[in-house]
Amino acid sequence: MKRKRLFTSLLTAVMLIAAGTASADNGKERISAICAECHKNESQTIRGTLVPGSQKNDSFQVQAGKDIWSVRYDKNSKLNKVATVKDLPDEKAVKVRFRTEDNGQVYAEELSYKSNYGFKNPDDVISVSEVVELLKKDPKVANYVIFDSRGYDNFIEGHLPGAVLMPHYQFQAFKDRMPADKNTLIVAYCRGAS
Amino acid sequence: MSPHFARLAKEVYGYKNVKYMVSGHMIWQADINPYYTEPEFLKMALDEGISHILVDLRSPEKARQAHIRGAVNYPLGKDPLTAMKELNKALPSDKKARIIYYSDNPEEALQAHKIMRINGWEDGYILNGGIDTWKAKGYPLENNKLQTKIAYKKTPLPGAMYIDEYEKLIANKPENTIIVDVRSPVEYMKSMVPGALTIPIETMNRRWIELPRDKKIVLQCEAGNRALMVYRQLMDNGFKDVRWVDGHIKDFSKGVLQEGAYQKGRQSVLTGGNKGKEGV
Repeated sequence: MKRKRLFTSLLTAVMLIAAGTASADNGKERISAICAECHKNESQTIRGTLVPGSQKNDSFQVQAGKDIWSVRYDKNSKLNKVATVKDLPDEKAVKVRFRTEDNGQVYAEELSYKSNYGFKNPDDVISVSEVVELLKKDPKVANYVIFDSRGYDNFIEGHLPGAVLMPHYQFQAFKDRMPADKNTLIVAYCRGAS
Repeated sequence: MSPHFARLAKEVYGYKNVKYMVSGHMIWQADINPYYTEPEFLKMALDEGISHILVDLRSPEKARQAHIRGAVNYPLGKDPLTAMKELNKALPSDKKARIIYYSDNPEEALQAHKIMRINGWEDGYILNGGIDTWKAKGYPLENNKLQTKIAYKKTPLPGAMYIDEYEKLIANKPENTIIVDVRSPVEYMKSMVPGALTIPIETMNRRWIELPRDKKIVLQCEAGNRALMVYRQLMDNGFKDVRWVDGHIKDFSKGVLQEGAYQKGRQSVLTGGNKGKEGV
């Protein structure tokens, strides 16, 4: 019994090493913790976020956990809902199916991401009347914050009472406005989903 | 664009409790809710001639003594309904006129805004912090120069180009003009103006340097918001000849946006190998 278990674990170790060599992972993480909440860790697949400024017409970098992957792509890579990675925002969550080339370069066979418009789970939506009720409460006591995700000019022209400016396209510059408590209710609005 | 932000907050930064108000600020305003404008905007409106009607709700004595330039005085006093009825009579016929209310009492401005909104004035704003915040910011006040008549003429916002002018421009295809579509890939890959350059607003912070300074630039998005933001960004970075399309693409004439135009025009973006050309 003991021997059998030893054999099994040896076999597993060999298989893991083999898999590791084949994908040239070098022990790199392939999936970010948050991605792992809903997705499985799959071989030859990276799930993480685009490293700000790394988006080029022939390469990009993905941060998965503590590791950064440099990925090459070209016209033969299947890109879903985008023609060049250059057009994707910083820190966009992406999934990359890759192979490792002879020179060790990681090459994207397929890249996918979720577009904004697929994000319409009713649980994520708050109505105007719910926001009206929420605004009657003290944000500190009820632990909420209202973010106006448009830009500065739209915000100064007109905004909801107590709203805080958080331009969606300049998140990097404004992210220190995010609450420290990850359980804080965050309500975001813009012009309207149209 | 709150869905983009919400997704980022939730899926990348791990916030557990993220919601977005899908209906947005326009429905908020339409539903007779308080809506605030910042002193910075009113200052800009005064300096740049953005059309608006400014209503001082304080007593005639207070208003006369120190008021914001161009204000009319309709003291809310003890009979708000009558006061607002008077204002209603004096206003132009355009119910979409921008009206900004201020007082030294936030409740008064709120009340005036509400009464007027119920009476069909769609584009009302409360000056955030009232006259006290205006003063605290060091913005100018005037003495005894209250307006007695409301003069209102709708003027375009700085740099704004309305749809008819935009469509004429597209028809003429002038060589010295570049149209920049600042929407996201999913949007422009569906349909766009053929030949337009695509730079999503989310990537503009690192890519505005790609834009030529010796050409006219016209920015277009879906509803005008994003184009206006990029307009400001470019003007702040010293661009001289930039316009933005102030209008919604649903109001464009048929054929202005063409399906699959991106795919047709940009197959050369990725040329393969490591020699991929720059996308512009």
